[in-house]
Amino acid sequence: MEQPDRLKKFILQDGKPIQKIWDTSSLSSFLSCPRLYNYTNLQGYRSKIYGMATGFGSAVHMGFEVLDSEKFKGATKDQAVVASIKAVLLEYGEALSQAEDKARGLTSVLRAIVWRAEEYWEDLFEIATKPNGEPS
Amino acid sequence: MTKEKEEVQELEIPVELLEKDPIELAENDNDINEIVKYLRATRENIRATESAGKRITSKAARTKPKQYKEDPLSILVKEA
Repeated sequence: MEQPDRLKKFILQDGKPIQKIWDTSSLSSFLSCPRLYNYTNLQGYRSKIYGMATGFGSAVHMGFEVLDSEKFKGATKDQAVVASIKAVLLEYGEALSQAEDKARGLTSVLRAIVWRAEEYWEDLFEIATKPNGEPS
Repeated sequence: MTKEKEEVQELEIPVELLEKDPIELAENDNDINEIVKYLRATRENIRATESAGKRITSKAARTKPKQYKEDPLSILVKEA
């Protein structure tokens, strides 16, 4: 039996995307506004405007993702932290440094990355891989 | 019981680096490493504050509290 590359969350039916696997984000998006759900989830539109709350979360998420993927590739903790910080600075640095709420500013994101590496670099959990060998 | 004055070493926040243009900062490994060094030290201070049984405040990250050489409970029992 061939393992699927990735479970298909959406399928195309008569050229239209239909969601087959539902998660809480998709459900809450649909419940809050079906049109928003259509644009963001089905058609893949993304806001170009940096949102304070979601932007901070996205920056932290990106930082952690780079940290983990660098670890997966065999980088040292120091190398992974620097790579993660660089990625966040380039993608979100300008918006984060203008944040009015300091708790959701650049320093907080950098702290989250460094502290995560300090706490969990030696973690016993391993990063799951996709069938093609890439980190999932 | 006399209360000893604690020796407080306060970390210096690298404000200049944290306020630097993010794109310029991303190109300078030394500056990034300075920030990482500072943030690691703040993590150490938080750990030390937790192990000293003190409250975590905004200042806790920048200062390292005096550590008990023995188990805090045994010190209290001895002094009672």
